[in-house]
Amino acid sequence: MGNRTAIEDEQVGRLEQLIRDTPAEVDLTRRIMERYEQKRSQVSRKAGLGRRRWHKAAAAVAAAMLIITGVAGTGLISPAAAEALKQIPGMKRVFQLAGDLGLRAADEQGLYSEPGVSVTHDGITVGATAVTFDGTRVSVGIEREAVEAGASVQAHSLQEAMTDVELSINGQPLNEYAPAGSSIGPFLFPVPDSDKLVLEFSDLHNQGGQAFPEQFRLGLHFKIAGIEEPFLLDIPVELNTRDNLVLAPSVVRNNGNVRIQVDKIELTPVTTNITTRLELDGMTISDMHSSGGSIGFDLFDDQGNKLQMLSGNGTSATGGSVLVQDSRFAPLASVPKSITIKPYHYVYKENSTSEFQLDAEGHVRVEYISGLEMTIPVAEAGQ
Amino acid sequence: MKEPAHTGRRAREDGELALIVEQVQQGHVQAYSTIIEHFQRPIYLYCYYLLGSREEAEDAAQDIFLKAMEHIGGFRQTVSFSAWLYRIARNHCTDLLKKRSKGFRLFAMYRQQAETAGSGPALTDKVHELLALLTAEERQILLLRALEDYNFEQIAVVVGMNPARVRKKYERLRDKLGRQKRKGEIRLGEPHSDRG
Repeated sequence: MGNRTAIEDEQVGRLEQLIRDTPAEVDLTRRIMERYEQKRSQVSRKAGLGRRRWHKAAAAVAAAMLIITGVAGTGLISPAAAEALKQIPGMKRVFQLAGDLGLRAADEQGLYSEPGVSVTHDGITVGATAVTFDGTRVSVGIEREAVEAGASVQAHSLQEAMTDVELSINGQPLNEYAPAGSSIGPFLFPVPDSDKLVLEFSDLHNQGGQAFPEQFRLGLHFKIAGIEEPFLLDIPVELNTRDNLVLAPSVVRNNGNVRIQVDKIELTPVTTNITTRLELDGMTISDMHSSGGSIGFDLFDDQGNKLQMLSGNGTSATGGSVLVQDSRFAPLASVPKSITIKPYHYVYKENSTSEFQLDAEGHVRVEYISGLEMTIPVAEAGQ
Repeated sequence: MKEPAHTGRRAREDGELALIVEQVQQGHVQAYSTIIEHFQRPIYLYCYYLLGSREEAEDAAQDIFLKAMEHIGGFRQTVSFSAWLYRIARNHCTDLLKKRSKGFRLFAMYRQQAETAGSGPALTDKVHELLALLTAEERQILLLRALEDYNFEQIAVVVGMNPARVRKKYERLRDKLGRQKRKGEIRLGEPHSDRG
């Protein structure tokens, strides 16, 4: 038997080696980048989507950042994700499954509603099963189910299958709430169950947009791959938190040509949102990004605990040198005496603005900018 | 020639990739070329061995990278970027194969094309012959092992199965391939060393 397995292993091993070593010259970079540029310019001409994309991208960045440490140290899957994958996803509520500690808190504390609205086309039902709105973000749990035998779209995860997402608030396009010349892009965050996702968006009221009303009907229009007819869900949304604490500290720090002002801090049971205004002297925001000078933020409570970063987005005029950003972190368990914001630069490899240095454990190296660090009193200010 | 990945290096690569992805998400479009350079060979080979032709594999790989670029804003690192990309690749190739709807005749075509494809026909021929013995799922599992050195849990993320099932399927495909070896029907390579 042992011999038999050895033969099989050898055969598979050799086949794998042959596959790896297949002679092939593959150089697709230029072609892909050209096709992308072409496509993008067409899209921008049609609908001015370029800008929206940027917002979506910027917001997703922050989401990406929080998990880097987890991923980098352990291989492909973060321990939390691996643990979540082991559970039986079908039995879990969508906010319970989310990696987002704020949504888990909403789930645990019942700070959400269950709209129970769904639509079925071609044997596939898609419904909104949970929604929470804490004044900083609206998160909607979406689930898909095949209700007829054979009606299967399982080749794609719900996140991949869902396209052409359009949102409205009380019948008005969502973007009427955006600052002039800007737009609000929703995110579709996957959870460890491919038939579920979290759709999330924020108003940009800290960036010049209009705040959402406390109660509204959310119209969610989308398509599902392979199904002709569009889906339309009418979801009632209301503010689920009553204990938000909003501070406007206007603390400013200067360091070299960088000035950072904290405009606002919003503490809710679901989110900690900080609004910052970054101003550069003699440099545009896009120059800062392309020269590898991007600035990120870590947030700590008064005990020195770092909060999980969730997402963020920012607005900056084309060619401008001011960037107003909302950065969203996990909620604080209780109102702390103070919070500390530590802005940082990423540490790049030598001669590179795209590859970051990692420490011995594979974590991204960041360099805190001590001149920009600020500790802001909270408890006294809020009482 | 790409060497098999090792866990330590993989972790480092993943960390670096995560940051490049983040840059792209921030709007640094050019950073995406680093991602293409990193994955183009394995993604191309993955498509090649699933679709059977070099031309189709090239087109598919381009489409996959474009699709990933367009959706990168929604990518969140609850899975690795690599697994996310391969999931797109898997879905894309599955769609193409469905459209073609000649599933079971695919591998006959493989061989013909491989013979006329220029470099290395004899070598890829043998690979195609062996892959033809496997089901579509088994082929995907084997390719992910070969090209990315994924463990069963990582493969499970891409193919949407639980890791235990992936392991079972892998053992089954190993048995299938081993049986061929014992029957002497298809022999692999002329090994220059004893290491497989």
